[in-house]
Amino acid sequence: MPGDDSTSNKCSIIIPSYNERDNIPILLWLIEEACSKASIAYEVIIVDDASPDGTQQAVKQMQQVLGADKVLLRPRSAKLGLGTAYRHGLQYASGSWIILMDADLSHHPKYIPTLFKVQQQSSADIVTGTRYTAGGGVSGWNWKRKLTSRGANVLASTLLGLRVSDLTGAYRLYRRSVLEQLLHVVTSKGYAFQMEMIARASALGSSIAEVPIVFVDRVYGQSKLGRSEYTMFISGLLRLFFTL
Amino acid sequence: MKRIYRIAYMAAAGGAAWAAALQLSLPTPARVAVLLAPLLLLVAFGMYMLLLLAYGALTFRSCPEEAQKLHSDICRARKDLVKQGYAFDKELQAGLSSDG
Repeated sequence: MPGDDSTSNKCSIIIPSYNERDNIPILLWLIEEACSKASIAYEVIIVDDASPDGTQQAVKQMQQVLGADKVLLRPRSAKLGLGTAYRHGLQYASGSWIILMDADLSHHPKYIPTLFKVQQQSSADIVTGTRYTAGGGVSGWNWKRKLTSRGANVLASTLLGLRVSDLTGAYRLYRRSVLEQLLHVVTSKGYAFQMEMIARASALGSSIAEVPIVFVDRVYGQSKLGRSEYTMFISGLLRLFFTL
Repeated sequence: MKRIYRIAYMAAAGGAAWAAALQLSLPTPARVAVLLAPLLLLVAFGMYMLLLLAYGALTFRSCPEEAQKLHSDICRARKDLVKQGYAFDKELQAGLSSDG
C-alpha cells in the first residue's frame, strides 16, 4: 500500500443497523474518539433497514455533530440480510480498508487502532477480532451461551480445517479488494455468513490475523438471536463442509 | 481439491487398507484389533473434539470489568454529546437515571 501514513489509507466502517437509535450516537462518538487518537482517517457508513424507532434521525443528528463527510447514511427500504447490507454499504465506501462491525456496542471501537496495528505488523489481508484467545473474552454471557459459542467455533474450525479461532465473529478489518471478491461469492446467512467469509478468504489464499477482543453483550435494545439462528448455523456449516 | 473430496479419498484409502489387512491370516488378537480399529479411531477423534471443546470453554474468559468500562464510556459519550447539542430521547434519559 502506498505510504506508511495511516491517513493515506482511509478506512470505511460499514455498520448495518436496525432499531439502534440509542446505540448509534454512542457508537459514532466512540469511533471518533478511537480514530482521532490514532490518527486514522475514516468514514462510517450506516446501512439502516428502515428502522421504525428513529435510528435514521439519530444518524442525521450525528452528522451535525461529526460532519457529513464522516457519517454517511445509506438506508434501505426494508429489513434485508447482513450480506446485502455490506454490499450496499461498500458501494458508497471511499476507503481502501473496510471495517465491518455491529451497531449495538458489543464491538467496542477502542479496538479499531489495534486492528490496524496488527495489520501493519502482519501485512494480513484480513484482521479479525477473536473472543477466544488470550486477552479476549465476553461479558454478560452465562456458561451455556459460552459453551455453545465456543463449541460452534471449535466444530466449525475442525470441520472446515481453518486455523482461525473465531469464525462466527463479525468485527473485522478487510483489505478492500479482498472484501469485494468475497462479497461476490458468499451466499450464507446469519452466523454461517461470517464463517463463509473466512473459509473463502482462506481458500483464496488471503492471510488472516487475529486480535483479542472482549465482546460485551448488548446494553440497549433487542438482541436478534433466535433458535432459527442455531439451525441456520448447522445447515450453513454443513453446506460449507460439503461444497468448499 | 475440495476438502470433502480429500477426506473421502483418505477414508477410501483407509478403508481399502483395512479390508486388505482383514484378508491377511492373522492371529485372533491381532485380527480383533484390526476389526476394531475404525471404531477406535472414531472414539479417539470424538475424545479429541471433547478435549478441544473443554479446553476452549474453560479458557473462554468472562470479563465483567469490560461491561463497567463500557458503561463509563457510554456516560462520557452522552455527557459530551449533550454538550454538543445532541438531543437524546427524554424517555431514555429517565430510564438511565434509574438503572445501574
